Amino acid sequence: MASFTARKYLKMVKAEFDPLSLFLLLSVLAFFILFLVIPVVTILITAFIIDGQFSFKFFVDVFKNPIYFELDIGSFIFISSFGLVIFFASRLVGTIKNKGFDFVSLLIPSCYTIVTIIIVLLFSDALTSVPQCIFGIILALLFLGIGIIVNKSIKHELDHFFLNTALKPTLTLLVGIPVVTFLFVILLAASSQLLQIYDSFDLELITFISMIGAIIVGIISSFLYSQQFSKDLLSSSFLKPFFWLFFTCIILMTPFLFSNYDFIVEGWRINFFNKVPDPQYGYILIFAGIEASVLVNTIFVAIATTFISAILGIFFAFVIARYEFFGKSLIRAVLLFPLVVPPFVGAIGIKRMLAHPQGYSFFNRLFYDAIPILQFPIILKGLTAVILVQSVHFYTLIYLNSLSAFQNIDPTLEESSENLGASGSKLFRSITFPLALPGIAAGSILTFILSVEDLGTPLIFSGDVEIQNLLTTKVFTLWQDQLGTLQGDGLALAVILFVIAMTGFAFIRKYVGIREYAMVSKGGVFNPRTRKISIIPTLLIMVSVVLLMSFALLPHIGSFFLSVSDNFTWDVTNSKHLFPTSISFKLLSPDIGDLIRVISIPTLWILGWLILYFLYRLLKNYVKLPDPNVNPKTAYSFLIIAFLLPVVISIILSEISRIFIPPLEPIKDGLNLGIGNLTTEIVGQIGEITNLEFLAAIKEVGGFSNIISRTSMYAFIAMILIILLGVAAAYILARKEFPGKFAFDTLVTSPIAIPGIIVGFGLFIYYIPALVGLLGREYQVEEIIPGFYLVHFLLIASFTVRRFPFTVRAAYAGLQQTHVTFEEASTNLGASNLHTILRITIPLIAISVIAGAMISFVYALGEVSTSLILLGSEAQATIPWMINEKNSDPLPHEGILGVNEAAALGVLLILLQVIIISIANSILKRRGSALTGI
Amino acid sequence: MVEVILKNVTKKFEEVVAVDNVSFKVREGEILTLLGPSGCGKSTTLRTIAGFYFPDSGKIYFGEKDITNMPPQKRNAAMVFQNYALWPHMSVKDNVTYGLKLRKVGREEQHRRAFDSLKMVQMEKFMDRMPLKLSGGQQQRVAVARCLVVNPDVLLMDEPLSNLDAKLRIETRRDIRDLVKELDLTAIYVTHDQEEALSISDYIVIMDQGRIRQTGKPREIWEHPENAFVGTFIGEANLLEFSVKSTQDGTGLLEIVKTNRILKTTFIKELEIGKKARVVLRPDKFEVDITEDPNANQLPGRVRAIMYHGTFERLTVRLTDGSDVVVYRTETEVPIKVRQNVYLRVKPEHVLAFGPTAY
Ligand SMILES: Nc1ncnc2c1ncn2[C@@H]1O[C@H](COP(=O)(O)OP(=O)(O)O)[C@@H](O)[C@H]1O
Ligand SMILES: [Mg+2]
Repeated sequence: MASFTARKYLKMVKAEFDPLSLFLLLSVLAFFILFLVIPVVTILITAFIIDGQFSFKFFVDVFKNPIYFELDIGSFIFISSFGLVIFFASRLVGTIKNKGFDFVSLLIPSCYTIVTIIIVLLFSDALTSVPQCIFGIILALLFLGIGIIVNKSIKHELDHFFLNTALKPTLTLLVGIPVVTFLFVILLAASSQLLQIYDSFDLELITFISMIGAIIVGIISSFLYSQQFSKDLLSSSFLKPFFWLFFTCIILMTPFLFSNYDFIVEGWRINFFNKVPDPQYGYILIFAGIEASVLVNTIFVAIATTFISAILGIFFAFVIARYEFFGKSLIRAVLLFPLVVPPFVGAIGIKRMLAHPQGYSFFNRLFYDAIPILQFPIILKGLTAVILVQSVHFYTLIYLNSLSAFQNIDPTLEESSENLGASGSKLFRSITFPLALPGIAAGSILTFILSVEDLGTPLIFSGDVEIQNLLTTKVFTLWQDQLGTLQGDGLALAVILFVIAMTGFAFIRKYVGIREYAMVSKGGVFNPRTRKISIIPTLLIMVSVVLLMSFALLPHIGSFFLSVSDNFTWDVTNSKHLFPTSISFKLLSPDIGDLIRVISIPTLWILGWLILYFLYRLLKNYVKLPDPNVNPKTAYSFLIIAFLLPVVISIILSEISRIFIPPLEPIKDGLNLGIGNLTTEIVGQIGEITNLEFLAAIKEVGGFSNIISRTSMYAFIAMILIILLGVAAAYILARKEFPGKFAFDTLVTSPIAIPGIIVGFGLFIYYIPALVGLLGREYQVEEIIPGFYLVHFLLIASFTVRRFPFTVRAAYAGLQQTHVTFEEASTNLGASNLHTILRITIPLIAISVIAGAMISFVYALGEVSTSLILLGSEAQATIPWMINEKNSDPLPHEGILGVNEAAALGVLLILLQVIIISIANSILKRRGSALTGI
Repeated sequence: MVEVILKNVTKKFEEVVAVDNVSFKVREGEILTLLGPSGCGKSTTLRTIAGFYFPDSGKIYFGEKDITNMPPQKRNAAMVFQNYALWPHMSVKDNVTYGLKLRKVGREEQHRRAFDSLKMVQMEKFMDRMPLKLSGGQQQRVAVARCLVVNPDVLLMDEPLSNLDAKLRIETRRDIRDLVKELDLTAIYVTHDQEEALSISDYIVIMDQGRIRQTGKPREIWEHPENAFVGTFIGEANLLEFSVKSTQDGTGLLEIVKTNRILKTTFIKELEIGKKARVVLRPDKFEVDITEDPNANQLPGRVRAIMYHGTFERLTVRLTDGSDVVVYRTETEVPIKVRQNVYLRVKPEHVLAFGPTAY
């Protein structure tokens, strides 16, 4: 039997695959297995093995450790409300997606219930030994089984549902079970906590009791409703009690959210608005978010980020998709800024603008010192800062996905609805939003995943305790503490991180699957509906867009200021300096050499990129946007320019900056080098810096150019690999049908969700010992290729794997819009498959591939987590590694603070990425969502 | 130029049987048309011949050679696609010489042959144009030239005229036929347009739901449909359902359901007494009588609508059993009004009657 099916399968593959496409498929597979599957699986497996034995010990330890996970009531309420939100969201999706009832809408809450039960069973103090854990798991599986059966039967029964009213009570019960179980668990946990902790009545207890009361009322009312509801299950009356329940909880919690009162249980301090006495200002208002265990913090940040990003993203997308107004194209371009810039870079800027630990932020200087509006300085710190930074970056993902969705909605659908009398907000709720929902959902989940796996942002703020209590930072610190290995807790946390991300990814797959990009072939291009609006609404839209946008651009503005200023920490007592002292000071300074030195790096970069940008604008005006269908020759020359120029320029620029910052040949002492007063002062202040060290410091600045060209080069090599393998993968996905295609697609797009930190570990742990063993010596191949270390090999592999989905998606979109008959016509005239691919397929999809490859390239440039994990010293550094290094370096070099240098590098990354992304986006146009890789 | 033979070819797409046990033969230098409604498997058959699909069972021969499993590159069966599939990134000349380059033809000869074949389709002036700057008809011609230039053994065309406007379609189909005949090519032509099929082909294969319903020369198919499907598919036709009263030596008597009217026919296929029969009546074969003649083969009815078409009048007549019949009336001396009672006379040989096995 088995051999029969295997043979059948082989026959099928043989019928579909010619040798060439089989080769393409296998090479993609081989690469992914080598550089993704094996390393990741290695980590997953080692987390379950102690002394050669299979064991859950690491996980039990993690869940029993209050630092990582604490089942306090605050967390419970928090996670529960999260569960409810997901439940409602999924119900909404379910209602909309099918005409009837969606399987998932029930699966999610029941899974959620099950997970809660597992947690309670496995990790409460009652269950400690392995048999008990197994018992817990069996119980959980049982629940899962019941959940699935319940769902199945509902699905089966569904067809009769509307016909056969006798089924309604049964269905009510079936739906009720998971929901009630879920509420019951919360109740149980809440009361147990209550009994343990509180022995006397006080305010918290009363709040608590009322909250539990609300829950009970909710349950009862939902039952009452369900007993008598006569409409179908989908009617909103069924949802009402849950909403009320949820809102009651929220309202009851509100006073505690907004006080600096320690909320109910130690370890769950909610201090969103915390007014702290300060000797200098009297009071400082601190926004810090919560401070709880690692897992709860992580989920909190992710949810808050997703929520804010969704609001920003959907708003922008709707405005852009539906309205015509002055300045729209500019706003469109600017909105994309944050897409590829790692939030990590923005974090430096935000810190400067809003979150300086001593309150010397730009914001406070402006609104407390200069224009005294504020009564106390405001400090943003902890998780709030992380949420802010992530939100203003990740909203782009939701924005792009919803924009594509809005623009791809067939206008006749909306028109027909308007025709029936729907208008305005009703139209948005009943037609537009539901149709765009899969896109929005996919973008939101992606945001959730990226927030969970973001390592860079929390690292920038890592002075704050709360931030050290995030999954990624925790894993990273453990990795550093354990000197490049992961054991015990670290492994278990990494696996949990992986599981969270992959769960999210599974949902993305559900919504978008192998996405259809081929809108054009489905009966022509339709005009997206845009409205011209009159002056007052225009103004309103402009104002709100500009306000929100300046909020979204805060990090970039901050980084920019920081990069052109050597000294941003102005004197507090002399408080009227709004702008970086150094700009005004330096511009007046007679010492030109000093000026150049201080601002050379960022200025050169800015100039370089401005030149590039205008070149691009110029080209754009003359060439129009290249459409290979119209004029291939110009299109290709444009492509080559767009393709190579960034890399070439980045290398040239870094060489130029090396000239401006010479590696100090004729040295006597620091002063002879034309280093101005400021530097001398600082050198004097630090005192201990000897000439030699000083020279080393300067050399380091010159060394930036090495780092820049190194990063560009490795990103470029990765991009070439990505193009080769990505086109192969896209070709197979678009042109071949075979069992396992969905799995293949999932594999090649999964890197979008696999945390970089895990890819990095996996590659390091799996390959470094092996490679060292193989080469029989220390892992420096520097003697063979100067500047090339073994880790760089892994770095390129990680770039390739992690940035693969962008090119695949773009190439796939291109292939979907290129009719197969073009290829068939070539085969028909006698061309071999290879010849057809090279001469017909690739030229026709080149422009999409290039767009995708450019995105992959810029993302690789800004790749933070694998860089931090894999690289160990400045000799190996990439730009993000260096930014992190400089940012945490308190000592000034050559008059420049580490943080300024970090910001300069950051601005450079931003400019590079912004330009490339705008080119890529204008190529992809309405398929812009391919930019997000899903 | 070769002979093409299909033997019991079957092609499935998962559950759908797109081509079901199809066999036919195209003689050298002959134009064969696959005709049928959309979705009947014409394209699939053609693409199986081109080698883009491999049949699940059955054999395909080019002459003596079994090419069933030969890859498409090696077949030398050039195809004109419905959307022409001219490569938009290559000029007309590059499109046409593509096949020649693959055949390692020298540069000068490439140019000469490209010029010649473009000249055949009157497109030699457009050698350096990009395809997307050509009109639909011009693109179509280039697509034909691209196939002709490689001297194909077989020329395959999949609805090559369907993207052109009506007038151009008629001109172009004549040009194609002339060209194919002049070059003495074996050609297989796919269309869903029966008029096009009748005028262009030497031989027609009518397909429905993956199966062949009839094969034959255009005139045979027109005059002697083998089943009701072919009868209605070719030309405008009325399809009525009568019961069979008696049959005898190629003639039969049909009774209009629920009336006592009897219709005589001399064209019968597989009629069974007492069972139903499908009757195909062509609109142009009726005479419209004002008075009843018990001896004539008449169908009584009442005029519901009259449309003036220039050379004829198009009447819609409701018969006594409630079905509507379309009639072309060329001789219009006696005026007829709407709601007038009329008697439609039809000769027995024009009453095409098919029993259940010949639906
Ligand atoms: N690549 C394919 N995959 C699955 N089904 C197909 C494919 N191509 C054609 N079919 C199915 O086979 C049948 C015949 O299609 P086709 O040969 O294109 O019809 P025609 O050209 O006569 O309009 C249709 O039912 C169509 O849906
Ligand atoms: Mg077809």
